[in-house]
Amino acid sequence: MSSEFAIYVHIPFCMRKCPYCDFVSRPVDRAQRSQYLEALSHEIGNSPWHGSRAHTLFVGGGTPSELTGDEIEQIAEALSKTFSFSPDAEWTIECNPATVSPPSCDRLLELGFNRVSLGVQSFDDRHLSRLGRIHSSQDAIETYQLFRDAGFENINLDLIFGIPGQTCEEWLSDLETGIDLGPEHLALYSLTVEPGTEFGQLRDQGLLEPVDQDLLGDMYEAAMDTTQGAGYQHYEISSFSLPGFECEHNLFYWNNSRYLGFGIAAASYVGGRRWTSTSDWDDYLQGAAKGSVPEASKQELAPRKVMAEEAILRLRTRGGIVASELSDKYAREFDELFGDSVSFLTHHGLLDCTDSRIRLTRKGKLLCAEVWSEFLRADA
Amino acid sequence: MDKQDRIRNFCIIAHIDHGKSTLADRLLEATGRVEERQMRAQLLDQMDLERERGITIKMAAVQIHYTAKDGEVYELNLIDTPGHVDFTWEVSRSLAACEGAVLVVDAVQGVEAQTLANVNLAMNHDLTIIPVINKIDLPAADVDRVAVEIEESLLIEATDALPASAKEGVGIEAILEAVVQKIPPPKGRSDQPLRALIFDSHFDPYLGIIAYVRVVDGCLKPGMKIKWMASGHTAEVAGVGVFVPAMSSCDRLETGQVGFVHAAIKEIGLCRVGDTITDKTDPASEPLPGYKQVKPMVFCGLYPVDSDQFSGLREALNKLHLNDAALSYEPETSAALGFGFRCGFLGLLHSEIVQERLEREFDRELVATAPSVVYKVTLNDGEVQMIDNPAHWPPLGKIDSVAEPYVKSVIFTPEQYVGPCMDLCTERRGEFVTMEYASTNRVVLTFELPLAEILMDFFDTLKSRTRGYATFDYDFSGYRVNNLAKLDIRINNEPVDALSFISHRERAYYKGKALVSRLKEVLPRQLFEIRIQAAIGTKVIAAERVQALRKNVIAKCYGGDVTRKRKLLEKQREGKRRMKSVGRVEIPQEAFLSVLKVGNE
Repeated sequence: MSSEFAIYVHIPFCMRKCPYCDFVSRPVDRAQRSQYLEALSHEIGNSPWHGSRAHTLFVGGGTPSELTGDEIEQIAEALSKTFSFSPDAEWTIECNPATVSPPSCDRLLELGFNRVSLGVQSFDDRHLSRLGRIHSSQDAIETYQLFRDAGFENINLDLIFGIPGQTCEEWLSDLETGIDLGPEHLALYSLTVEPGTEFGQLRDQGLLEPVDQDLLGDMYEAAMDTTQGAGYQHYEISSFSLPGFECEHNLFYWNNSRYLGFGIAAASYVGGRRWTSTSDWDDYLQGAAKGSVPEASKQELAPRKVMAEEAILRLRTRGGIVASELSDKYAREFDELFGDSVSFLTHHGLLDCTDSRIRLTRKGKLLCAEVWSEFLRADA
Repeated sequence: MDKQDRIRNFCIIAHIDHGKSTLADRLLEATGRVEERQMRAQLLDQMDLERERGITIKMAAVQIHYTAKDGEVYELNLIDTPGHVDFTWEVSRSLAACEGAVLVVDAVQGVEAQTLANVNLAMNHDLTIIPVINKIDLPAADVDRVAVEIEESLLIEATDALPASAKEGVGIEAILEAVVQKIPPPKGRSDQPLRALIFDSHFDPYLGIIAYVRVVDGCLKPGMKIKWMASGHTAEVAGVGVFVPAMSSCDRLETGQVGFVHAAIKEIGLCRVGDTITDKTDPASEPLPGYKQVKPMVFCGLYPVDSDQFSGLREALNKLHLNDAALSYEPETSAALGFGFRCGFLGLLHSEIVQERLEREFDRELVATAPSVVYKVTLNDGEVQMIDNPAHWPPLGKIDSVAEPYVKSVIFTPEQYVGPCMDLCTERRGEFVTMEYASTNRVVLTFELPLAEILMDFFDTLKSRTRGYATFDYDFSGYRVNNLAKLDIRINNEPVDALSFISHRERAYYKGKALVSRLKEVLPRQLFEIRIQAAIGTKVIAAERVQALRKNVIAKCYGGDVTRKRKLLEKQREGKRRMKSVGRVEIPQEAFLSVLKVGNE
């Protein structure tokens, strides 16, 4: 598996930029779209890892479901020519409610997509409009049904909690509506206000009050309880699935495996080197045409930092970490580097160490940024 | 007329903002010492900080030449003085180098608290005072009224007070003429052994310590072997000169002259301000009367934010001390803050200025503890301890009584603000002494106040309650026994020495509660619950809890997120590194500042 890649393709278009979104994305016209797709095909075709095996594909954005069937086929073709996917590889596409029609659902299936991630965010129209979403609650339910009817057997719903003004009851009601639809997977996020976004600006101007962390804690805990009651496994901080429906693509990230990102601002990670492509539209188009996309940033991580990252990423997942495995993999004593952090975090009830496995406790899940921060101290 | 008869040494005294620095600039301009185009506004204020705050902290001495109406060319030495109450010490040093003072009073504001304080100092030094009523260009100027105020509240003959507008350059010639005609020439004797008074100094990286001197008797020239009469140190004079206003070397400084001397001295302690320099081979029998030795009144701990920076802070304090003799400092250790210095200041403004200079000029990042006065603690066995640091407070059971310093404070205020001023002084445990009218609607209030009560925000509160009209000055008046106690702050049962303070028992409950709730606001939630308590001895008088951190999740963490989130956390960690920790509780700098803000409103 370590020789395989997870492949991510970024589609930086959307009808309207959401005020909380910090992905590189913007509304574009038809000509720009076709320019972009052409560049993307070039970039994929010119990949230095041409011929490698690919384990999963995730097409995200933006709003990939705004693409036409032919446009998506263009991408899929480029990928299939460049990489070898197994026939049952997980292929996910992100879709926004109200951007999809029945024929396009069929077309996606035909092209090989077998998993859909639906950006529902909320089933409350007031909160949807607060989030600047262009769809209604009803749109989301209908879109979900379209995919179901078309034969998709692995559907994820993205839901957001901690929307300004949202109560815990409203959040639970959103979540229950989602669960009632019967998705295989739920991604439940607290709203993160990132600098540079419209929400970020509002916050800086004092117009957006940060949501109380106790309320967020209540919401998150309620989500853990409710999903568990409905048979979902909490297999990563923000990810819940029915048994056997974990997102394999995302697990690649959390297992510290290698991945390649294509498209503007996409991130790749191979052998301790991580880089992100330019987020400048023109630079990207020109670079892709010439066969080399400029990097906006790159990092070569020292082995101990890679080790710390792997520890923290794996800790996000249900399996947690086995210290001896990490020690062997990196030929460095895990306990020597992180033993103090682990015992500090265990002492405060954030980690649980049983059966030689280290896992986040419920409190640790609520405070995973603190856990990460503690590991950073150790790797410094 | 010999050379000494043509020397005049004088200073300018004024309340803050009455135009002293502008007048000094005009005098320099009028005598051609500084060409207008070369002049930066208010040339004597050399430090950036002074320019910004509009106050003179460090004085400078400038030699100017003036051709008077009698046809003679006079050498005038203008010694600038700081205007603020805290700098009484510096004022007294510069006054000792002068025979006269130009008293500047604002034609609108009239006599203010510091005018009175500075005039008293000048009179104590037997200086000839030339009253000048400045800012006559202002529409609201009232020269006659102000002249009456000068006569009535300062007891200075003001019928011939000189009207002037330093800003417009009006009246400058008359002032220069008055300096020559009214101020006596220096009295010293040139045939006597050298005696030169050091009234200031600064450190020059190439020349060493530059001492500012007034030659009282004899003469000072390069090559001479000289001796500091108090320290006993000896050296050979490397150079002498005058300020024009830049340093300009000359071949000698004669009796009555003001200038500088340097002798390749690198060590601060060897050239103390107030000492007398004499000729080593022909020493004077008596040193000059020392300056009024002012003791620091206000103390606080200064600690580097980053514990590694202790030696850097020491170096900065050493250098600062060269230019600020009134600053005292010695190393101390705090359990919460690590290694730092206990610093003594003349007053609160002085402490603020020192902190700002350390931060700006020396690029030091500081945590300051709450200012404290010096308490006189009498123990049960009769022993008396002078304590300037709450951390050194004796155990409750051993204390017999505690006395605190009081100041006699004078407030000048328009009549309509008498009520608010009285209220403020009463709230601060003040004791009313007198109320007098300076003129028809201006009142002088005198109160006895505990110094500790004016340390924090008294001046700001006074200003805000009187819309900026009241002025204030104070002078140490003695110690009084009061019911005082040390308030300890404990965080998760560990006392935080840097947060403890002394309070009157009646106000301790209120202050403790206020501080504890402020701390609750500024302490970030951590992995465990934090208990904050204020206690006197073992008795807890106020308590709060900071709940444990509830949720801090990095929700999304996919390919592109890892680097960004990592950087974010690294940045936060860097911020945390600068926090001080008590036990495992991380305490941000703000917490130490909050103790400064508590309890007087």
